[in-house]
Amino acid sequence: MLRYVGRRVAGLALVLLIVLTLVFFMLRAAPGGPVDAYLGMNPTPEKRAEVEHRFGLDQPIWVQYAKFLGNLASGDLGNSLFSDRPVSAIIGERLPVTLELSLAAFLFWVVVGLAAGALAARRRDSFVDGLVRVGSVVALSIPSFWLALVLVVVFGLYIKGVLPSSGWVPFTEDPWENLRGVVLPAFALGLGSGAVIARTLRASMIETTRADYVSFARAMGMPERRVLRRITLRNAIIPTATVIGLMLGVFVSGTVLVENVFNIPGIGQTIVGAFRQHDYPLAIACTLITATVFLVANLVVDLLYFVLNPRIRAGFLNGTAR
Amino acid sequence: MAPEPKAGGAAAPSPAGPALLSVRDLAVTFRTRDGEVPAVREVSFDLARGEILGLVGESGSGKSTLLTALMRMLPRNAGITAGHIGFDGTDLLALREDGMRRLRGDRIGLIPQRPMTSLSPTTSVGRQLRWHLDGLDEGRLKELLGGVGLGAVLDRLDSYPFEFSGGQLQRLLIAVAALGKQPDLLLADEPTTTLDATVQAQVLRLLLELRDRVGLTMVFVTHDLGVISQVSDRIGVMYAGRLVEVAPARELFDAPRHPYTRALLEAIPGRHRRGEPLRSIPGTVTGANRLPGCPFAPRCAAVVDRCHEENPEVREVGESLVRCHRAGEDL
Repeated sequence: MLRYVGRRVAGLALVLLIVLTLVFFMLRAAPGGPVDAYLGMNPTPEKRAEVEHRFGLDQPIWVQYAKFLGNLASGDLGNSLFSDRPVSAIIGERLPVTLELSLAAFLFWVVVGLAAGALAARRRDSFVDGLVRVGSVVALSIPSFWLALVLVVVFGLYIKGVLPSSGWVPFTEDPWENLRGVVLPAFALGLGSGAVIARTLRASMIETTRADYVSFARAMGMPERRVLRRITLRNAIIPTATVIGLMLGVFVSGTVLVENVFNIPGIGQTIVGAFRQHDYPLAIACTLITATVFLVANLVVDLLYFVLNPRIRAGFLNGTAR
Repeated sequence: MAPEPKAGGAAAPSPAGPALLSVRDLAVTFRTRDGEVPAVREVSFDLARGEILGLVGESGSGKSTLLTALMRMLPRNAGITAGHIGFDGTDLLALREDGMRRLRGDRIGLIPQRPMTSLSPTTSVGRQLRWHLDGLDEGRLKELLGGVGLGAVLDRLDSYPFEFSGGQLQRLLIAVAALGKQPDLLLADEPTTTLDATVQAQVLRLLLELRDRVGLTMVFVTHDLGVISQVSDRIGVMYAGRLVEVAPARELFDAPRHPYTRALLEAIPGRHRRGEPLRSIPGTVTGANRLPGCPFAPRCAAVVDRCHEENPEVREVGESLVRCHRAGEDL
């Protein structure tokens, strides 16, 4: 088990290195550059050369890459080219915002998705089931940025004062305002994922209901509620857990759109600015953080699988699994 | 044996004692895209306490559906459309679902067809035993598992179902459903078909032993005539949803009355002379449950015109009850 986790963490580090290398070269291959962004229109050649030297861009690309790797190994992500502040400080400010938003959206929509899916499966072909099925298709077809824009317009122009539709108040400053501000972006961020979770749970519960072990439990006189709790849900949750794991990626990447629409100072907003301005260190740091959150979340889901599925667990204990 | 009044479809009276289970004119219909398909039609029989009734028939003859109907656990697209099921003085079809649920397990037990998939894969076996048997203590557990020859797995009860063999699981299920619950009526749905031949024999021997020890009343469904001859007191032969012949086990094998029963017996390898090719019944059962006359008519060797038009009523011939126009004739 420990060896498995160790191997997974090592694999994770390798993936991160590959991702960062790709981003490193892609940024430099892209047209334009930080110098143009920094100096604006028609700079003198001397000025150009000076800034290029300051950013370290006058060196051959392999030297830049080697330096980047060296700094990365010592944990130094560099300074932002534009604000000249350490990138780690910027990330430190922005990451909690994004994490709070993603986590709120994740928790809310996992709970809503699971509840809706279970209810629909339990009352199959009823009005509630129809509502969940139609509702989830509609929810899936709505792009999150569009929903975000609609929410901003509705709550910003028509029903003012109910929920803040733009900006961010840190939790430490005013917890209540902070939580109120999370509601709309979190709703927009996770709607589609909630729909996928609901549909998956519904389908796998209906599938499970047909299983021999459900019939046997019922033939033994086990009350329906207990069958549902002890057997149907317990087995149907396994495929659903995989889907929830995949959705974690959507929650992290979705913040790029949602934070920009709601004007929330998180990683998603920072990453867009950094790439637009060719702020290499900041862009790479944002990529690093996003990829890490995603990979770690997936690792956690895989480990959760180990808890949920005794077959996989037994495979580890007697060594038949990888 | 006093002949019972032949109400409606006429019943197969049980040889001894008052009936524990009494089925009259039972019909089960499946709703499919192509319309309603009858799966069980005009099935009537009685079962006395301590008696074992074997139900035999090809796949699709309605034997499993009949068991599921007795449990009132038919799939969503199926329903009981006619008939009556009396169980120990209770009209099962008039019971509300909750009342029926109380009977399941405690009074009407089931041994499933596929033991390998009949326990939840995500919960330990020991825990599932405790789900079904309230207040199960160590002593009782030992007694139950010992009773089915599974004493050796006592210390493995925190293992999961996939860590046991099919034979072990089936014996475990028998320990719970038959020994643990001691139901008045036990329904066994091809309990040995998915097991290896040697394990089949073990499980059969166990069931027979239990019959002698606990006095099981059982409906035993199978398509294997060899198995059924070892287990049953009486045998019912099903074809296309109909019970075409019911007779005491020996009688059925010595003097089969229905042409289908006869054909089935002739198809058993080993019952005919060496060197002769194995016999089979020409044609298929497909569509037979939609025909107006006798469902077996298209494949029957003794068919007459009448068979295609009129469904035969039940006739009593010797100790057998037969649904055939030519029953009793010397064919």
